[in-house]
Amino acid sequence: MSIDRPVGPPDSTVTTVAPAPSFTPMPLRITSATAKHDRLQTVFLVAALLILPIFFTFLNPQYLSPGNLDSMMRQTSVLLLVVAAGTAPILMGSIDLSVGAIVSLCAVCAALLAHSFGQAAVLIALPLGLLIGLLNGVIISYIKLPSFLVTLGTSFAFAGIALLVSGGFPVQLVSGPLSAFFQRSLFGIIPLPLIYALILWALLIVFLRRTATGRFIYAIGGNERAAKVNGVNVRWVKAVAFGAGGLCCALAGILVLFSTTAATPDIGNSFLLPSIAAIVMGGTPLSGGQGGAARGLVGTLILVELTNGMLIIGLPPAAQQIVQGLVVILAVLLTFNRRSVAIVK
Amino acid sequence: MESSSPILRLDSVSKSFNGVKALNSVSLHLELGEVLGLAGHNGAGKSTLLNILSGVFTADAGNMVLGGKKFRPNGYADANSAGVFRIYQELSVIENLTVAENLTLGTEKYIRRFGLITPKRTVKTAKAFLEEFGLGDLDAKRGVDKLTMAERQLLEIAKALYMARLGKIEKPVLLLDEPTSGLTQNQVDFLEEHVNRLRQHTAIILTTHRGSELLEWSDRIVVLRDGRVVGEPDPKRTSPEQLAELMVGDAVISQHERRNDVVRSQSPVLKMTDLTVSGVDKPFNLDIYPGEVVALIGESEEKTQIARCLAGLESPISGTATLGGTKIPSSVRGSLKAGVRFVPADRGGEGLALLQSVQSNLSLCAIAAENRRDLARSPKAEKSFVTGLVTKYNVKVASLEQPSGSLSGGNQQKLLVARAMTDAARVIVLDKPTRGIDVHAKSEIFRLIVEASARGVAVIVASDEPEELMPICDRVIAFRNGQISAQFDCRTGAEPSLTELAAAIS
Repeated sequence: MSIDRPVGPPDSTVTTVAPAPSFTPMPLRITSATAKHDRLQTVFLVAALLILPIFFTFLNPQYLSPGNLDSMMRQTSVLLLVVAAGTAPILMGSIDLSVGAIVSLCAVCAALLAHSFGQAAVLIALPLGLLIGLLNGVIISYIKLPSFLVTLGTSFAFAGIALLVSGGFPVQLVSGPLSAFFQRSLFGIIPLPLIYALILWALLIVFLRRTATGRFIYAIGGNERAAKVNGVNVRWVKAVAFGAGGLCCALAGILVLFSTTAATPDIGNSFLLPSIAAIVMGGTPLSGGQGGAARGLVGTLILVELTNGMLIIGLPPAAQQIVQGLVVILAVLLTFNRRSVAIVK
Repeated sequence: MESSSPILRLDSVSKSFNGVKALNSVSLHLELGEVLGLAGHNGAGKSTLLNILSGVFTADAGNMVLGGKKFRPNGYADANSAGVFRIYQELSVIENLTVAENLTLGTEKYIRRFGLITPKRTVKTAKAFLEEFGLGDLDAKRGVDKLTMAERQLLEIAKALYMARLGKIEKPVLLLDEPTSGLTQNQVDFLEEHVNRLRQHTAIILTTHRGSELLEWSDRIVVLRDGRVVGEPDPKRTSPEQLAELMVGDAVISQHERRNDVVRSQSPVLKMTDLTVSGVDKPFNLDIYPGEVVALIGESEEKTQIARCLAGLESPISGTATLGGTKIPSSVRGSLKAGVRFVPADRGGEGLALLQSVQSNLSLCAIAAENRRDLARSPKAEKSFVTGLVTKYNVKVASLEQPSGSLSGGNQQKLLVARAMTDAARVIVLDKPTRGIDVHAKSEIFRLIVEASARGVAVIVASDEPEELMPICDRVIAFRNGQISAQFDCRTGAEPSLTELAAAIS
C-alpha cells in the first residue's frame, strides 16, 4: 500500500503535506555553550594541576622530593578509589555521603580480621564493602528513600559500628606476606597501591561507558521515569551502583590500612568532601546523567597536590581546613556548569 | 469594529537569523476587543513574531506602534511595562500556592499593610479583581494543584491582567501561545468562554495547532508561511481544511490510505477481558487485531489510563489483558517483553532524557528490554543501529550526539515513535502523540503509524483530537462516564462524522 500518495479531490479529508519543509534546527545554544564551558574547564583544571606544584615547590623545595612524591601517589590511590565509589551514584542523580564511613569501617574490620585470621584475611573486607554498599542501595531503591538522607544516616551508623568494633582505639595491622604487595613500588618509583587504584578506576570507566548497566546508570541520571518506561530495572541498577561504590571503598580502606599500618575508626572521614569536589571538578554535575569517571583523576590529583602542599609548607591544621573548604567551593564555582542545570537547590 | 485606530500595528517587520529570513516584511494590526488568530506551521514565523512582540528578540527592520506610541521592547519586562503580556504554553504558576497567592506573587508590596501580608487581604484583593473581569469561577482560596489545566491557563491570563492593572495599563495586549495544548474539549470550551469575557478589557493574539479552534475563537486570522503573511481568511467562511491548505501552500495535499485489508477473522493480537481501570469502572472487553489502528477517545483521562495499563505503568483495577494468548504482566519490563511499546504523552517527562544524546535515547530500550546489550558494549554497533532508525524513519537530526532536547517537539516525537517501532513490537500504544506538534510533524507521525500497521503491528492511539486521526484509523472506541459509549468502524469510508464523535464522548 502506498503512503503519502497524492489524492485528487481537494475536498477529501486533509491530513498531510507531501514535501517536507526543510527544518533547519535552531542553532544549538545548549551545546555550544556546553562545549565552550568544557574547554574552559579543561584549561582551568590543567592550569591548576601545573601551577600548584610550582607554587608549593617555590615555598618549600621538599615538595618535589622523591619521598613526598611517593607519599602523594599513595594519597592519590586512596582518594581516587573514593572518587570512583562516589561517581556512579552521582551519575544517577543520587549521592553517597557514607563513602568515608565505609572506608573507616572496612579498614577497621580488615585490621581486626587480620589480627584473628592472619594478614590475608584483610581481603574479606572487599565482599564486606560490597554488602555494605548494597545495603545502602537496597534501602534507597527498594524502600524508595532519598539517597542523601539514607547515606547521611548510614554514615553515622557505619562510623558507630567502626567505633564499637575497634573499641575506640587504633587497631594495629599484623605483619604478613601481603605487606609487600601494598608497600612496594613498581621500578622503585610508582607505589603498587596506585597501580591497583588506577586499574579499578579504568575498570569503572569501562563499566560506565561500555556495559548495559553503565548505560542504565546514565539513563537514570538523565531521566529516571524515561529509563523506567524503556524497561530499565531502575531499582536493581541503583542497588548495583551503590554496591560497586562499597567495593571501591573497601579497597580504599585496605590501602589506607597498609599505608598507616593501623586503622582508627575515623580514618576515612577526611575523604568525603574532597571526593565529591574531585567528582564535580571532573565535570560530573550533581544533577546526574552527564560527565563520567575519566576526569575524576584530574580532580583527585589537584586535591592531593593541594592538601599535601599545605602540609609541607607547614600551614597550621586549622588553616588547612579553612583553605580546603574554600578551595572546594571555588572549584565547584569555576567548574560547575550552571547553565546545564535548570535549578540549583 | 470600532473606528478608532488599532491598539497595535506592525509595519513591514523583518527578522533574520544567520541570513535566514524568519520574518519577511510582516504587517498586521490588532483592534481592541478582538481575537486575532495567527496560523502557520512550525517555522512559518509565528514564534519569531511572538518573540519580537514580547521583547525576546528585536526586529531587524520595520515599525511597531502600540497605543499610538512607538513600540520596540527590549526584553520581556520592557514589553510588559508597555502593555504586552505573553502567556506561555509551559505555565509558570506555582502549584503549592493558592490562586490568590499566585496572582499577587511578586507584587505583594501593593497589598501590604504595616509591612505585613495577611491571607485575608490577599484573598480579598484577588477575589475582587477576578470578579471584575468575569473570572469569578476561579476560587481565590483554592490551591493551584487542584485546578484543571484550563483553570491554570486562565489564572496565568488573570495574572497578566493584574500586572497590567498595577502598571496602570488600561488595555493590555495578550499573546496566547498554544493555550489549548493538552486540554480536553470540555476544558477548551471553558477557556474559550472565559477568554471571550475578557474581550472588552484587552486585545488578544492567539496561536493554536488546532485549526478548527483557531477558526472558532478568532475574529480575524492571519496566515504566515515562510515568514510572510500569505492570507487573511475570514474565519466564518473558512473550513479547517482550507486553512490547512493555506498554511501549507501549494504543496500537494495527500492522504494516508486506510488499511481496509485488516482481516478481523484472524485471531486478535490483544484481548482486554473484563478490564476496569481508573476512570473506567464498568468492565469492558476489547479485541485488537493485528495491523489495526484503533483510536481511544474520551473527555477525561480514562483513555490514557488504558494506555498506561497496557504499558505496565499502572495496574488495572480488575480484569486482564492478554497478548497473543498470554497475560501481559503488569510491570513495564513484562509488558515490553510481551511486545508492547509505549509512547508516553509527556515527551520530556517520561519519554526522553532531554540533556542526553539522540543516540543514547534511541538505543536505551533495545539495550534494556530487547537483549541488545551488545549495543552498550560496542559504540560501532550502537551507531549503526541508531543511524538505521534515524534514516529509516526520517528523524531530522544534525548529529546523533546532539541533546535530544535540542530537537523540535515534532522531531522529539518522531524519535519516540521510531524507538517504539522495533521488530519486537506487536502492539504500539501511543498517548496523545500529536500534542503540541505542527501539521507536518503530525503527518509524519501518521505515516509511521500506517507503516507499523502495514507490518501487522496493532496500533492503539489515545487521542484528544480524534478528527485528525480519522484518515488513518480503522476503529474508534469512545468512552464516557466510565464506560465504552460507542464504537465506530471507520473502514471503507464509513467513518463517523465529527458530530457523532463529539456526541459519543460528551
